[in-house]
Amino acid sequence: MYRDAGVRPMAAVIPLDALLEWPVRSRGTAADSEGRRVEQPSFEDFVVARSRQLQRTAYLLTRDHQLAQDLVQTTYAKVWPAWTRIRDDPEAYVRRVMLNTYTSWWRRKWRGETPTEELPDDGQAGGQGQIEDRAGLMAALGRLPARQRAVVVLRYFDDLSEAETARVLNCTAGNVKSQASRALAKLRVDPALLDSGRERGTSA
Amino acid sequence: MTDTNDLRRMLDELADETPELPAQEWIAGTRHKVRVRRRVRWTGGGAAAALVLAAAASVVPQVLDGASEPVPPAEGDGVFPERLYGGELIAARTNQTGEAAFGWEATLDEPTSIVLFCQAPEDAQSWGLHGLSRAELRVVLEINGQQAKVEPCAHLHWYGYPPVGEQMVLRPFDGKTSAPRSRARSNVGYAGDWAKRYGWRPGEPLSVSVRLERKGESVEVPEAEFGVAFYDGVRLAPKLERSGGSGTISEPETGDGGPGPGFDPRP
Repeated sequence: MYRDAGVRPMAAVIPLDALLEWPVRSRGTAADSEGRRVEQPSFEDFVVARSRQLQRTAYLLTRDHQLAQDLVQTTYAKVWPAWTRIRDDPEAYVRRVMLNTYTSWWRRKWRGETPTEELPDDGQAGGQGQIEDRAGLMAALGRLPARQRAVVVLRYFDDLSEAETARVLNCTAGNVKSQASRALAKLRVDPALLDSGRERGTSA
Repeated sequence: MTDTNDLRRMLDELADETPELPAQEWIAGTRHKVRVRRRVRWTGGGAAAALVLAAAASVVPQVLDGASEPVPPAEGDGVFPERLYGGELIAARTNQTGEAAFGWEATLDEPTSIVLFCQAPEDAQSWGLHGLSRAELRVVLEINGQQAKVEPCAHLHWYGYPPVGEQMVLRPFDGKTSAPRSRARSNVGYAGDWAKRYGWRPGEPLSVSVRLERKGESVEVPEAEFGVAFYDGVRLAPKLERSGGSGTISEPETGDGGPGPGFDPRP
């Protein structure tokens, strides 16, 4: 049917340059839950501003760079179609979707997690003490139940209040408080963190 | 770890290991994932829409250049079945991430069937508009620079494919009810007709372009998926049989006709 290579791309109707330029538009205003007009960022603005932090949070939750990227990307794909309908705080909404996604992965055992005893040497800068801290914390986080790990990350990394954490995790503030308390208790006696703290204390 | 401040510092240091990705990668990845999700929903029986236009061809198109192998379907053509009414998929292309339109140029030795496809969610998003009703969305097919077809990107449409000599009749088809929603005359006739109409002769390059538009203006809708395919050897047209206000597409008249296995045009 085709004489040669057959089908060849031809010039698009819309110039390629125009397609490569992602229109970053302001979303304008939206009404919050009390009917007030509030400025809302566009999805593109949000991605530019918040991806780094979301990815960092996702990494602490999943303890894997690829899974972290996948978690954030999946979250974006979930929230994007509904972006114009998000009221109030988009970041809280996105974070909640991400935590729900993370929880569902964990429940389904799609991403079977195993505690990490040692981290491979990634060649990143940092003193020996810092590297041991990171390795110890990574292992200790891996030994926490997923829910407690989420509470630790949200409370002590994202610096959310108990109420904010409760909203993200769809539970009560009291539940957050108790989960955080249990998680901290476990971390304090975790051998990996005890060792690193002891060594740091010795070297200090 | 001695206290929560110590924990905060350690978490921060651990998180710093995360490599930074450019925002454009996130956005492009989001588009891709959204489209995959839409496609999965559609193939799983969702309520996406398809528009199929079969431009007429000869009864059994022959490959004049026997040495040429069929061109492998292009990336992202999963929406098109391998076989369609006895014809085989020669080549296909759907819009890729970031594409609001695309075009192809093919050198054909024989007329072939051209199948146009478009699906979009009920409430589409677009980069130029805050919200877009699916009813406003149109898919436009151009052949050799001339507008050949403008159709709504909504519901499921099957377009009939009559034998040579008959005037082509579009038969919009509601996949849910198997009832015809309307009938319309096509301005794309059988093979010789569209070939003359669009100034194409066998062996000459044929350019086909597809784009989305709203109210006559091109529009970029990330959730929409559209594409075009070339089918060789489509033998029979689906015929609409009407009785008592309902309609069905008849079985092909030869044994090996019909859509390929696993393909159900209905959502």
